[in-house]
Amino acid sequence: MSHPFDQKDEKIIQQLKQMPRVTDERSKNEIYHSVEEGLYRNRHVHRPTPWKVPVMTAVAVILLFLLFTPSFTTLWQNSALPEGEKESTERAQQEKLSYDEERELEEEISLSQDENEPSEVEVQEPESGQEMEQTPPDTEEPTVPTTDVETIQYTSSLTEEELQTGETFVTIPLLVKEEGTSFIIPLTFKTRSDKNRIKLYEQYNKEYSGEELGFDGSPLQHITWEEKDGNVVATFEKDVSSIEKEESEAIVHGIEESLRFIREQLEVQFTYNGEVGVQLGNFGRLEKYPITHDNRGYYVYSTDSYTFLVSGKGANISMTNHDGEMYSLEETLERMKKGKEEIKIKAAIPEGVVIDHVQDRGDTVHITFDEGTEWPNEEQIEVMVDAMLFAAKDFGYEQVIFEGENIENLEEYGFNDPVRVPVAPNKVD
Amino acid sequence: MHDEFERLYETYHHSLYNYLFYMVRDQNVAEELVQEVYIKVLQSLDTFEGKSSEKTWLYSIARHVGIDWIRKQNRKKRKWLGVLGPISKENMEVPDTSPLPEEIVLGEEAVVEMYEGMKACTPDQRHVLILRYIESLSIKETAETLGWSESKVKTTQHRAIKKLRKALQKQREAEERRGK
Repeated sequence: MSHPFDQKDEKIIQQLKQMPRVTDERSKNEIYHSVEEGLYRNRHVHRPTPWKVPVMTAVAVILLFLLFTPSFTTLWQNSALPEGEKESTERAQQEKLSYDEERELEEEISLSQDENEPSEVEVQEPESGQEMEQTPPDTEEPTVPTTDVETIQYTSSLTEEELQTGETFVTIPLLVKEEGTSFIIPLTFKTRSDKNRIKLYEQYNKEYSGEELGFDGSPLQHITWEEKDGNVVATFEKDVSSIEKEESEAIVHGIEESLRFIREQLEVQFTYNGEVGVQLGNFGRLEKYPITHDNRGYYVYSTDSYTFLVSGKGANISMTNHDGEMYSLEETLERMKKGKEEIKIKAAIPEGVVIDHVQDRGDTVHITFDEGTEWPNEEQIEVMVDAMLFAAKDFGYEQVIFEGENIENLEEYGFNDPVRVPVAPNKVD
Repeated sequence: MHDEFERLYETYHHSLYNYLFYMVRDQNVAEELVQEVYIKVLQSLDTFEGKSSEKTWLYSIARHVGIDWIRKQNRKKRKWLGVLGPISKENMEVPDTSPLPEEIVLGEEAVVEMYEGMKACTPDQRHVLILRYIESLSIKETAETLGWSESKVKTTQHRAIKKLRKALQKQREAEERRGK
């Protein structure tokens, strides 16, 4: 894969910088007059002030309520009358009711004869609707009125080439609760720090609340981390012997789903209260926990604002077939076409993308697409490619070559060259 | 109102017009759209709180005005063709039938090639190329304008250059074939 700024790229950048500036031939006054006309037009499009719409609606509701609930007024009037008068009033009301019913029936007939003439209420609503449409929505900073610009942003992966000298990264787990279950989203921060990686890991776990993304914080907030003789030691700051199953699983999955991006081949040692080992909820007593790379596949989770990659393991999606064997990469990619909709975990590979075959070549894997593949939009391609690269990474591959008859849409990913697997998912700045 | 217009015009007009032109690739449309930007800005200038810079705020308004126009054109086109369904990013292509402006035509061959090559980029990539290199905005300013993270700007910029490089290469190969 080429370096982001090799000489050819630099030449293109220079050429772009020299593109001519195209100028508006009109005079300032001419433009001002056009703008003034536009402002005048906007001001004179009759539109209701914001308070008028609810007030008019409320008045209409009250009128309709009074019209269709004569019994309410009767009840109210009758409650204030003596017994004898009540009876005569009731008779009068009954007579009036039958008269009203007749009138209503007549009105219905007359309305059905004049179907093209909407009632007064019907006339008002479409009018105000039209006027609202003509009204340019108020411009608010920093967003601007527009119709349907996509706002969901994919937190893309962190690649090695993005890390500049002196920069490092840390990945922490965030707990997401969705539809009565929970899963882990790994979140990666790029940072410049001289601190030990494991100490940085501790700091981010303790300090990042997840609030701005709408999540709970890290399930590892009450753990202190240190490195001893090349091993990573996790010291629990509170008693976790009787925590709920969900909480203990969040801790274990949280460690797996974050530390594996920071350190390879790792075994975490647990301590509590100055002693080796910890009593961890339904896991019982744990002294060590090996961080494995046996995850199988990546999926997609979106909030109103962001899209994240979630590992199959983090989302508790099965990694083995009926015989208990771990899925192959090819099978994993196929499974990535189906999500777990009940907890809003979506497929990372759209159904229209057909993988013809997957071929192992040492530290490189070739993924060949069928020529009938229907490519999704740009954002989905980016998510899909990242998910596939991470899936390959968990199988120990260092790079992926994407092949196929119909991959011109993917050229920007350097699909003629091997693509290096990213270092960590869901990068936030 | 005139003073505000005067100030905005003197400070930003040429940049906003240039940005809109490269986005919609039509001078007449860019003229209309830049007016629309002024209208929106002058109507809401008192709501601007200064959380972002005025410059990126204006660019972001111009961007949305441009995007809305492109979407409307595509809707019209789709309606005319009888195609229904949601508008996806692939359908966000700019109708590119207007004559090239003098500044481009009279430029070197490389300028025309680059202008044509930019068509190969996706709309998001084009936004980044225009803002970063033609308008000389910083990564931070581009991110503010587009409402993205800085890393997304960097990634998109990297991919855009790559795509542009391939498009230019294809153009040259095609020219060579024609030459033979």
